[in-house]
This record gives sequence, structure tokens and C-alpha cells, in this order.
Amino acid sequence: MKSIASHWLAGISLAALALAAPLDAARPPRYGGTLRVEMSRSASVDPRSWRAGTEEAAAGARLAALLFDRLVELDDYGRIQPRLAVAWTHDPAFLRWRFTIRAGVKFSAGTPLTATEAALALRPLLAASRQLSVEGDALVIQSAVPMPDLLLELAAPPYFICRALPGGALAGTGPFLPGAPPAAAGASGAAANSSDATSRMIFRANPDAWSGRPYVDAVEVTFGVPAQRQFYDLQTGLADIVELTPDLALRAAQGGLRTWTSAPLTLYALLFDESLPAAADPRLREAFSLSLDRASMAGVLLQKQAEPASTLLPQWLSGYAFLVALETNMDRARQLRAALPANFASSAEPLRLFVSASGDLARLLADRVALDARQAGLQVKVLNRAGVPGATFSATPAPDSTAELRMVTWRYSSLLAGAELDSLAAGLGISHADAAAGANSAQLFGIERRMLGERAAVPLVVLPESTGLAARVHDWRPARWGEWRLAEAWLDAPEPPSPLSGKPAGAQP
Amino acid sequence: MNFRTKLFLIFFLTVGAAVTVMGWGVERYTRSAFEEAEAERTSALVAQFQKEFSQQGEEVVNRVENIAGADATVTMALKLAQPSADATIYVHDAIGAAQDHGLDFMEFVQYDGAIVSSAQYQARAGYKNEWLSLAQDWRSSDAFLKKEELPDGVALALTAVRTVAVGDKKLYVIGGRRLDESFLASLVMPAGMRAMLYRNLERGFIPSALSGPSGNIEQAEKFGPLIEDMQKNPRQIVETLEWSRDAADAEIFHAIPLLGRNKELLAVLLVGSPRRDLVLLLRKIQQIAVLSGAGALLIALLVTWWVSARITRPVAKLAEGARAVAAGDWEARIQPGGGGEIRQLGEAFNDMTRTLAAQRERLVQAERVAAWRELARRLAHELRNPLFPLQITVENMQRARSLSPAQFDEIFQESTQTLHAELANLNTIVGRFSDFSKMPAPQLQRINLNDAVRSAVRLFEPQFSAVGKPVITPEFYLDDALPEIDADPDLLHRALQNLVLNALDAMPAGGALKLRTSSLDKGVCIEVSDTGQGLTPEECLRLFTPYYTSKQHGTGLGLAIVQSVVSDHGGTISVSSEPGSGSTFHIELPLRPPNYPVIPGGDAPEPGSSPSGPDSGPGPEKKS
Amino acid sequence: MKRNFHRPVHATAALVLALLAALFVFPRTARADALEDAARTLAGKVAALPRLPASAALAWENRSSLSEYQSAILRRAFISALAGGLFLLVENAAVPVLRVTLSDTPAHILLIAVLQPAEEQDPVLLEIDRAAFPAGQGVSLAARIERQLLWRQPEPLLDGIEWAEGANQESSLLLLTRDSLLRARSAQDGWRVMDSAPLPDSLLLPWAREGEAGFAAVSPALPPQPKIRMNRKVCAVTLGEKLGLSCDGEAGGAKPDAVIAAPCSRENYRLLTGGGDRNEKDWIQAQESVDGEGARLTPRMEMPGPVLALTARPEGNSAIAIVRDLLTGDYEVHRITLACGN
Repeated sequence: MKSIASHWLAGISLAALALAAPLDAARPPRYGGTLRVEMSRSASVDPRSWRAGTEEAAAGARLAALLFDRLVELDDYGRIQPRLAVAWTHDPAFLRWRFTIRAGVKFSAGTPLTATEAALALRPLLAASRQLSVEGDALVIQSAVPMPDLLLELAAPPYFICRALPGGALAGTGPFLPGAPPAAAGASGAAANSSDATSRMIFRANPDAWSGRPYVDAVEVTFGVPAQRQFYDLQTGLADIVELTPDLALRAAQGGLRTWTSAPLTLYALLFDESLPAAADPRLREAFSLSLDRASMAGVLLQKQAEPASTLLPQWLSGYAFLVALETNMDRARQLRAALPANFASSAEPLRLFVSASGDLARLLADRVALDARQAGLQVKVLNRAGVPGATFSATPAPDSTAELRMVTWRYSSLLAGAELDSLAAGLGISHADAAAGANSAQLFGIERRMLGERAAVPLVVLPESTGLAARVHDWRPARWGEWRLAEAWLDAPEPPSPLSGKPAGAQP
Repeated sequence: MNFRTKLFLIFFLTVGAAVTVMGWGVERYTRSAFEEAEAERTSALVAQFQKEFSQQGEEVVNRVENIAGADATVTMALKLAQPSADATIYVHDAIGAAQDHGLDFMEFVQYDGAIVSSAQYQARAGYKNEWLSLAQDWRSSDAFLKKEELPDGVALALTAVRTVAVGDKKLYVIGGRRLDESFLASLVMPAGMRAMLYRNLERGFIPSALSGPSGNIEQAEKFGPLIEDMQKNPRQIVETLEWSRDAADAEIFHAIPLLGRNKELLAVLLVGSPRRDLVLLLRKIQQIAVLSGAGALLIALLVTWWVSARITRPVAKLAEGARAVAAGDWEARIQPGGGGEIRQLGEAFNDMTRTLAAQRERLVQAERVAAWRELARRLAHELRNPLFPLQITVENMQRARSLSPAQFDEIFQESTQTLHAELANLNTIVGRFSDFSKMPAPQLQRINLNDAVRSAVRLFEPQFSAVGKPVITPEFYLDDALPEIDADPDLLHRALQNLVLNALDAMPAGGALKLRTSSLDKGVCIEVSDTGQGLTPEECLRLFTPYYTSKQHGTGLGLAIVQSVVSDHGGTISVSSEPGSGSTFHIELPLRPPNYPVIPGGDAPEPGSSPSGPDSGPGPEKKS
Repeated sequence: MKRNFHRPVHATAALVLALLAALFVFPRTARADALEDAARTLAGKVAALPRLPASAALAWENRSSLSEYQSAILRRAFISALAGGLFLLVENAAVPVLRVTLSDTPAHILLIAVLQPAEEQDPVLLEIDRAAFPAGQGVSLAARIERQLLWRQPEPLLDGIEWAEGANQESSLLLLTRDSLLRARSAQDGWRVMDSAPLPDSLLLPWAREGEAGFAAVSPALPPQPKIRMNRKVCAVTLGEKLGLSCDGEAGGAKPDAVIAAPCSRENYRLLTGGGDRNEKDWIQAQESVDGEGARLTPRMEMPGPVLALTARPEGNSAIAIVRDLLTGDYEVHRITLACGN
């Protein structure tokens, strides 16, 4: 398996191949234009409303990054970069951290950023055990337990510094400002709520942003655009940045479109409901797990756009995932199945696999899981998701969805393996004895191996996020863990309106 | 039941039966003709459907061929034939191909059987379809029926397979249409008819596996036996299903088995055509048949009545005439009416009565002559017996005149005594004949028959046990519950005496005299039995003829007198006997003697005269 | 422990100097030591494994973002540390395999050692801060267009220019960062930052984005004076004893073409870049600056990342290219020259 970095670079090189480079001098970045982004779902920009592990939180973080800044940021090379904090110190035991807040930065509402504001913003986001205080221009975070990875923690999506305004709106220090209606409502934190109909938010470039005015004049985000439509909009030049499903990403790459692929960010996994007798049987779980052909799921069904997952945390996040191999062993699975009570997973009483996750992909994987399990003599009936849109999963199954198995997804959002594992276990309802936060890699490996051994959750595949981008977008450098960093991108000068195109390229003179 | 009624009934029933048979026949014929026509229509439609079905199959083949010939498919085949080809990039291609070509099922399968792309079951990509490579050349194969595995179950598909060959590596293109409600709906069906599909995916009958163009079928369980029959032996079956008690709700179903490539039963196509129109038409015909039959019967009734009356009128006259003849009206004649045989019959009747009357006249005369002859013979015989001694005696007396007076006197004395005796004997003979002629009319009074029997036997009691004579034992079997009857006690007494005397004569060596009385339905019965020699059948026949006797002495009038008395009382007498075991005389008497019938042209009815008058008639005449 | 980063405006030149020294000069050795330390620590942990076989073959794999050079250093250090330890490593033996893998997480490098086949044996995991490692090393210079790596740093560099200074025309390297101007001179062990000047607020806020700021075209005035353009303003650089900036409110400032001379040609060459996306490796090519068709082109020189700035020396014999190394994220300063023949 290639490393994640090379995977990511592969995406870039694909894009490089796609671009017919003009023979020209290095072009300086150009100011102006509206970057048109299409997303399949709407999301709230209020970090307090995000639920870990959900696509909504990830989408919200992307939007929030336009409006808000964090204290620090992780660059692509694993280095912490200062943002709103310019310097930081900590005691040798990592119990107390002191962050010097950048001077001269103003919220979009006009008030200056102070350590107090930063403390107010972080308070609802940080665990209660973390004490926040202010020392002059510095923010102090203290805890009774060591916080060696606090910087990484704060570099992750939810820890945006924003200021609540009267009326519920949020003001930030980011490169963009909430723009014209309906964006004004959207930036209020209450989110663009309609998920099926398309809605639109506009983010204007903030000329006074401390980090510099973005190149583009505005970012126009359209929500609720179906995947296929996004793909067509990209092809026809109606959108600049779109989300691509795995099959469309492949098509886009084949079709010579520029694409960008993140590190694997979404885990598809199966959860056993241990309260049901069949699902509680460890032999059944083992037989089930051994019957699964993850390599085919990732390599064939998902067209190599995904990676087989043998652990709950991906390799790029944990570093040790390659040590765990979940091989298909159909013979052993059949042996185990033969030792099980005959009625377990029989045709008369098939295991019910409830697809909690949304999307065709989850259903596709569930079908494949059922097919694989059948090879081992385990009958599985796939139940369609009956949940409401927007609810990606729930830790406790709905009353009408009693099932031995649930197909769930988990969108990684943290940059810290331990914190992510805790969050994932809590979010999916997997019990694990040891808290993973603060553990080093060796300890974490032990914790996760124990969790995998219990097989309460069976990882299937991890999926990266793919993005298609128009040829006129330049210097867009998203982070491989999914941050978009749209402020860095700039657009080509608009071409004269073509009689074929329905609307002008969107850039303002 | 008189002849007319009989005739009427026969005619009526015959006509009725004929009408019924004809009506039934017409109805049957019409029904079978209609049903035949209906069956022809249905089988034509079934044939049309089958044609339609095979056209759908051809359509699938065409579409699959189109896909197989499409540039994209050929490109795919070329790329997949290359070493280390990446099949995964085509995982979604089948979906687009299926959509573009309007197919429900679409799969691309690599030369090794691995599914490259599946439109209907995406998750199967990478799995192997072994059956493809097992099969023959797919190039010109027809569409066939196939069980198609889907994520949420199993469906039926009309499937076609084509290959795109690159070198020795083939790309299989498998396309199919789902056999379901919409497929049924796409079939062109005549109005009223409907098609249903039973997907035979499990053993036994599953009602939910049956569907019509608009979804589920009501009362699907009614198809259970038909489907199960089909599962045992797949063949075309025609069956009528009743949906309710009303026969008009019935529907004829042509069940056509749809077989897979290995001749396994995958589905049953049911083409139903309603019987309502047919049943209603037949009902109308039935109604018409019944109404016209009833009308015909009514007409037959009237006509038969009239005809039978017309036919039987001469017959009735004939019967009346016959009765008149029977009553002794030998002059009775009828007016022969009508024509033909009836007229001939009337004339024949008249001829017959005339002939009968003439013959009777001749017979009477002949019988009278015979009776007189018999009487004369008997009388001569009876009288000759005493006359011969008289003649001898007289001649002796004439000869004695020449003898001495003493001798003469002695002879004279002896001769006169003999003359006296013989004359007395003659007198007795004459008296007996006289008595027979003077049988009186019965003077009826209420009597007890048992008493009469006992008193008749009592007279002979001394003889039963007289010294030197064989012993006769009287045995009485008398019914104490015997009703009293109206009879003449004296005549009855005389008759019984004659019978007892007859019995005693029959038992010269002694024996048992049995007397038995019993009740009859409307009378009483007396039986007198002996244990003597018995009678021959010839003797039995002639027993009651006057002047007949089996004995060496006797006039032969005794039993004739008995018969006469019994006849006068309206009774009957008979004898049963077997030679060697005695004889039994049976007398049956009514409780009250009936009035004598009037004998036309005869003497005025007299209480003494009996129906056997003509027979008793000769008696006195003979005697005289 | 304390980590320092630039303070944009109020930082004094001394602070910047100290900081630069700490980051760029001293960590060089410190980082190499860190690598070897890590290898030694790992070797110690491996040696402490229970049920250790007498000998094992080593399988070394680098799945991390460390360069192969760094990986080789680690491997060498690991082998030597282990050789002095408890058991002997046999190359390619059919004995148990000690599999060492370099892996990484967003913030850490993991050194993982697994002894195979020993299923029940827990792997040895060693976690090291990523920041402690130097980024990838080792670039090869090619012919025709030649490039020479002069400098690299993780912090953003906006532009650079070589300038002959003073009476002896000593060559100094002026580097423009986001908030200061640095002057480096070539010393025996490489380039050293001699002094720096913070950029005035008027230039600084808001920050200039990469590619936006740089050295402006040299004015025809004599003596020539370097100028920087930033946030649509132009400031002149005053060289001499102390580096200084004089901003007189001049607006605009064009980005100059990078034109250098080739020793074998009377014609100057204009340097071109691919101008591709900043996510891609770029290249530099020189084109004979002859108008019209038939202009000769040199082969392309591939750069390790996007070329952010390309500024020719006023004398026209070389140019400075600022390149962001895609593999490491470091900003590199390359001197681009034209060489004739092989």
C-alpha cells in the first residue's frame, strides 16, 4: 500500500496531467472573480452545532474556515503554523499552555480580537476539564491531565475563534465576510436549513483580513446540488469547485478534468447490536468478519477510489494501520459458521443489516457485505435506511430498525488519532475500556487492537473525498485531511462571454 | 286409471320428454359450440401472446446486440483483453448501458466469468458468473428466461447474451428485461383478458409471487392447486376458476409454463379470459329453451287432451258395449265412429257379439241336449236297476201260475214283496230327483257357523265308534272368534251333512275327520278334511258335476247339492286332494250373501236361484 | 521549552536573527542527531523485546514522508545501534524478519518494528515529533539550465535577488519573507543571514500572498537600487552597513521579466516557467529573447515544486528562483544559470 502522502500526490499529479500548461511566463496571481462552489448538503457554520463524525460537521468546517480562524494551523508538512496565536509556551508537564494572541486583528464586526474573545469562543468547544484564563494578550489553557497534543487538537476544525453577535450571528476574523442575502442568514449559524432544495450562500472577500485579502472577490456556495449535477456543472463551466463521488471522480479523471483527492476521510463500518443473540455470538462476528472481501469492495466496487480498512483509524491518522491485516478467510468463516446454531443467519432468520448511513455507496457496500457473508453461509437481509435526510447515523438505532448489524459511516475530523478514536467510539456507541486521548501511538495501537478483537465494529473501507476543479482555478492547496483553504486560490481572467455559456464566468472586473 | 288418462299421460310424457331432450340437446350443442369458439378465441390470443412474448425476447436480443456492438462496449472489450487490464473502471458502465437501451438488467462479464459491471446488482462486481462460460456459442442464441439475483430478492428476467470477442478473450454482454407487472402491462391484450405472472422462485404456492399488470391479485390462493399442478408437471393447462358462486364470475385461465435454460419452471404465465359473456349468453339460451319447452308442453297438454279424448271415445263405447255383453246383453251393439282401425275395431266388436250370441245359442242348445242325454242315461241307468227285478218277478209270477197254488202262493208272496221293495226303490230314486229340483231359496238368519258344524257332525257320532266298524276320529279346529254370518241354517246343515257323509264314505278303513273354521277378510272359511284315498285331478275336476260319483252307489247329487247351497249363499267351494293322503273341501262364505245380479233376459231374480243357475238347471230337468 | 515564530511587526531585528539562527543553522545538526537518536531508541526497544531470536533479517520500509536519504540515515543508525546490542542482523537470511517501517501521522513520524513471524509479539512503536526532522534532502543539478540550491527554510519566502554590493561587489542574497527583508552572505559553510529589516506596517497588513510580492524592476537610476513591491506599494531597499527600507509612497511596481545571458550566446535568454498550478512541480526553461519564430529553447529544468518567484540579477548572469518544495513544504532558493555544452 502506498503511503497516504503519495496517494494524495497522485491526485495532484492527475490534475497536473490534466492541465495543458500554456507556454507562458509564470503568471502572477490575479485578484477578482467569484469562485463558485457546489456542495451536496448544507451545513451550519457554527462550530458549536457540529456533531463529530458527520458529513455535516465536515461541510460546516469548510464553510467556517472562510469566515473564521483558529489559533494555530497544521500545514501539509506536519508543522504547526501560527494563525491567531503568534507564539505559545507550555510547562514541562504540558499542563499549562499560554498562547499569545495576534495583535491588530479585528473581527468582521469591527471589534478587536483579544485573548478574552478567544477564550469566550473556545469555552463551549473545549472539554470542561480544560480551564481557560486570560493573561494580558495571552490565552491560558490549563488542565489536570497533561495536554501534549493541544496544538494539534486546536488545529482541528471545530476550534474556530468567532464572536457571537447579538441576534445569533457570528463574526470572525477570516478572509471572507458573510455576503449578500441569503448569505446573511446563512452566516448566522442557524445554517441554510433546507437540505433538498438548493440554496446559496455568498462569502465576500474581506479586504481588511489580517491574513490578507483573498484573491477572489467572493465565494458563492450552492448547497443541495446532486452529485451528478455537480459533475455536469463542472464540465460545463458552471461551477469551479465541486464534490465528486468516487465513481464521478474516476470519470472526471478519465475525462481529463482536474481533480483533487484527500486522504481517506470517511470510514464505512459495520456495527453489531450486542443485545441481539445472534449478533452477540463472537463466533458469528468472527465468521462474518472473515467472510468480507474488503479488497474487492475498495478495488472493484469503489473502483480503487477507496482503501480497504482494517482498522477504525486510517493509516494517515494513526500511522500503524498497516500493521493490522483483516484478510478474507472463507474456509475459516465457513468452519465457524458450521459451529453456530443453525438458525443463526439462516434463510428463515437472516441477519438484518440496517443501512444507517446515507447514500448509494452505503447501500452498495451493504449489498456486497450480504453477498460476501452468503458465501460463508451467513444470510443477511439488507434493510433500507428509513431515517430522515440529514441524520447520517445515530448511536442508538431507531425503534423500527432493530437489526443485528448496522452500516455506519464516520467522517474523521480530528488530527489526533487518540482523540478521534474516543470520539468515534462514543459516536458509534462502541464501548472501550481505555480512553485513547493522550495515549501515545503504542498505547493507541493496543487500544484499537482490543476494540477490533471484540468486533463490535467491523471496519470495511475508508473513502477519500474528491473534488473537481475548473481549469480557471489556480493555486488551490487544500489540506489532505479535507480543509479547503479557498483564500489561497485565484481565478483566471474571465473570458469574453461565449454565446454558449448561460452566464458570465462570474468574475468581476 | 282409464285408458284416456293413460293415453293422455303417455302422450303428454312422450311429448314432454321429447321437448326436454330436444331443449337439452340444443342447449348442450350451443354451449359446446360457444365454448369451442371461445376456446379457439382464447388459444388464438394465447398464441398471440406467445408471439408477443417471443417478440419481446427478440427485442431484448436486439438491444443486447446493440450494446454489444456499441463503440463503448467494443472499446471496453479491447481494453479488458489487454494484459493487466483494469476492469474496475467499468464498474458503473452497465447502469448507463441499461438506461440508454431501456433494459432492466445489464451485466458486462469478463472472459473468466468475473462480473465487470452489473446494473441490477452493483455489489456483485468482481463475482463470477460461472454459467456463462459453461454455455455454448452465444452468438445466435435466443432470449431465455433466467432467475436474476437482486439485492432485495430474486427477479425473473428475459435475458439475452452476446459476446464481444477480442482474440480469444470474450466480453459477455448480458441484458434482460424484468418479467414483472410492467412487462405484463406492455403486452397487448384484448379487452377483457388479463395476463398474470406467477414467479416460481420457491417450492409450493406463494400467493404473493403472483402478480398482474396492476400489482397483486385478489383471491390469489385460488390459483394454488393450478400452480402446484404445474410445478409437478410443467405443461400448458387450461382451467376454469370460480371467483364467486355466480358462474358468470368464472374465468378461464390458460396457464403457460415459462421454462429456463435448463427446462426448470421459472414462471407461469396465466392468461385469463372472463366467462361472463359466454355464461350470460348461455343463460339466455337456456331461458329461451325452458320457456319454449314449457310452451310446447302446454300446447302438447291441450292437444293430447283433445286427441286422447277423440281416440278413446270409440274405445269407451266399445268398452260400454263389452260391458253390456258381459252383463248378458247379447244384443248390445256399438256405433262404430271415426275411421281406420278404430272403426274396424267397432265393426269387429259388433261382429263378435253377433257371432257370440249365435254361438251361445247353439251352445246352450247343445248343452241342453247333452244334459238331457246325460239325465236320460242316468235315469235309464237308475230306473233299469229296479226294473230288471220287477220284470223277473213278474215273469216268475206268470210262470208260477202253472205251479201249485201253494207254490204259487209262496212265489206270489215272495214276488209281491219284491215288487213292493223295488217299487219303493223306484220311488226313492224319483224322490231324490225331485228333491234336487226342489232346492229351496235360502232363508237367511244370523247363525254361528261353529254351532252349525258341531250339530252336523253330532248326527254321525254313533257311526264313528260303532262296533264292527272302523273308527273315525273327529277333530275340530274351530275359530272361537268367528263372526256370525247370515245364512240359511237348514241348507247349511244339509250341505255340511253331505260333506261329512262324503268324508265318511272316503274312509272305509277309518281315519280322522278334521273340521276347521277360520275368519277371512270379509267372510268365513270351513274346511272338511278326510284321511281317505284322495282324489285324482280328473276326479277333482268333475267332482261337483251333478250325478257324478266315484262311488258304486249313490246318485252323485250330494256334492252338487253342496255346491248349490254354497252358491246360493254367494260363496265358493273347492277341493284339494292328493291321491293317498285324503281330500280337503274348502268353503268360503261371505258374511252376508250378495244380491243376485240381474240376469238380462233371464228369470226374475229369485232368492233361491244362484249364479250357477244354468248349471243347476239341468238337474231338475234331468231328474224329470 | 519554547518555540518562537515571527512576530509580525513588533519583533526586533535581534529577535529575528536569533530566531533564524535557531531555526536554520543550529537545528541542522540537531536534526541529524534527532534522526540518529530515534534510531538508537528504536534499537534499544527492539533489543529489549522478550523472546528475542538470536538473529534476524532486517526489512526496512519507508511509508512516511521522510526522504529516502533520511530513511537511509535512520537505517544506518539503527543497524549500528543494534549491532552493538544484543543480536546480530543477518541480511537476507531465512530467519525471523525484523520489519521496520517508517510511517507518519499528521504530526508524528512513527518508527515501527515488528518481529516476524511472531504473531503474538507486539510491535515496537516509537513516536517522534515531525518537526524535529529536517525535510527531504538531496537535489541533483542538471545541465543546460543549471540550478544551485542556495537556501531553504520552512517559512514562506516571497522572492529573492542576488545583488553585488559595495566596492568589492560582494554578492549578497536579499530574501523577502512575509514580514521582513533578510540579507545573507555566502560563508564557508553556506549562506548566513547577516541582518534583516522588518517591513513597515504599511506594507505588511494585510499580508501579501505568495507571488504577489517581490522585487520590482530595477530602476534605471544609478547606482541601481533594489526595490520591493508589496501590497501595491513600492519601497526602495537601502543597502550598506544596515539594511533599510525607504518607502516614499510610490505605488505600483511591475514584476520584471527574468532575463539572463548565456555565456555562449550573444542573445539574452528569457526565463519561463510552466506557470502551472501551485500544487504541481514546475519547471524552468530559457528562451532566446528573439522576437518572432524560431526562438531557441533550452530543455526544461524540473523544479521540486512550484516556482513562486523568478528574479534575475541586475547583471544578468544568473537569476534566483523561489521554489516551494512539494515534498517537504520548504521554501527553497535556487540560483539559475545557463551553461553551454556538457
